[in-house]
Amino acid sequence: MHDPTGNCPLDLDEALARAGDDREFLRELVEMFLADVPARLDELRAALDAGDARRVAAAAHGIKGAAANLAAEGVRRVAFDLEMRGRNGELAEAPAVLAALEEEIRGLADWAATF
Amino acid sequence: MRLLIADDDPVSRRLLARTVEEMGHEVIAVQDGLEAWTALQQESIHLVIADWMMPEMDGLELVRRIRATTRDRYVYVILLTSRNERRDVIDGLAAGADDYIVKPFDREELLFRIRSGERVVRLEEALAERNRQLAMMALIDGLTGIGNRRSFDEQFHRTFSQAVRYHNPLSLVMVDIDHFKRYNDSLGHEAGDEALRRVARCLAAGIRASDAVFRYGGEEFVVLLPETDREGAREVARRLVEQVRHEGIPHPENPPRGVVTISAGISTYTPGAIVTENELLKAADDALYRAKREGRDRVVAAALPEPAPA
Repeated sequence: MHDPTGNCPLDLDEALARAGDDREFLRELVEMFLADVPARLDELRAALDAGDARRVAAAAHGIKGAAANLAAEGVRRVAFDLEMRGRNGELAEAPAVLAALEEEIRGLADWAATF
Repeated sequence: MRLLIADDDPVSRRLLARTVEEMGHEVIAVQDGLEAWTALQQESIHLVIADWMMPEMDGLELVRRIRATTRDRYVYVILLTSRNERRDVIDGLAAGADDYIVKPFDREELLFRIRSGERVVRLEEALAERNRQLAMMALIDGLTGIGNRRSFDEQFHRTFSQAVRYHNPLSLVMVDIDHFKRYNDSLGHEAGDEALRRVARCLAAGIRASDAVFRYGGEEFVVLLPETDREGAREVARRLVEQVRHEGIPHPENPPRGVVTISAGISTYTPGAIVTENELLKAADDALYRAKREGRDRVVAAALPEPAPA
């Protein structure tokens, strides 16, 4: 189910393969991700506010890993970007990247609503 | 097999659990290293799949702890690691992990890596069973590695006969772990077995080269002290009681010290006395019983018939 603009937040073929070709199961997994991610985003924001680069990296790493399980490449890529900034101690642009991450996650939630 | 999955990401945990269940295995899923460690104490687990980065205790530390503890069966450990940490894979394997799989994991790869683990687990089970059979035929107690009851019976008989023949004293110390049932009940059988091993090691380390310690029963040990009179035996027994106490194995249900302690009952054959092997054993046992009655964590010596003055 790619949307008309061709910008699907999930690589559906890969995601289904991971979920053993079970659409219901994939739906369940995406729901789990969406239920779990707000707390992770809160942690990320708190870490950023505190200027704690290692904490930012750790929180972003967690989101990256979770997204990778679902082949949600958009979320994964941005989370990875944020993780690397945290690891390198470069938090100057981080707030903008965090905003981009939240945008990607919203996109995933929208897609999930119609899946 | 029974598998333990430890991952703080719920999606990863769910995916892993599902894959493992589809293979027909039983799954326990936890979300951090500490929960994983607790589960390992309480359940008999064959294989662990653990994420590296977890709260409370990470995968690396978990592996180290697993390998540092003696268990009655081998635990096969697969670490989950993401691409960034690949250089840490060496650390994971060095810490004792058997295998690793890169996140996000590939289902088929996971399947076959678990199968590899299963081969190792089955091999180890077969080996353990063979060892149990050997132990039964041999004279060593499988759990503690010291002499078993049969071995004691033989050696006691031989040593006692020699003592009588050559007019040497001989002492027995009957040792029993205090409130062991409570220990097992509250901390689990794995912990109980480990405590038995530690106490056995303590006792073996505390005796002299000419002495021998055996596992006499479930939580009972017996020490054979050839050419040793009552005073000598008291010294040895006191030292053993102190050493076990000093070992400091936590045992909250054993007041007042709150660590594992032993009670010891001594009996002594004095040359010329009219006493049989069984009477000597019974006397040590009675003395042990008195030590328990009088408060545990102590030594009591039996009063045995002394030989008539020459």
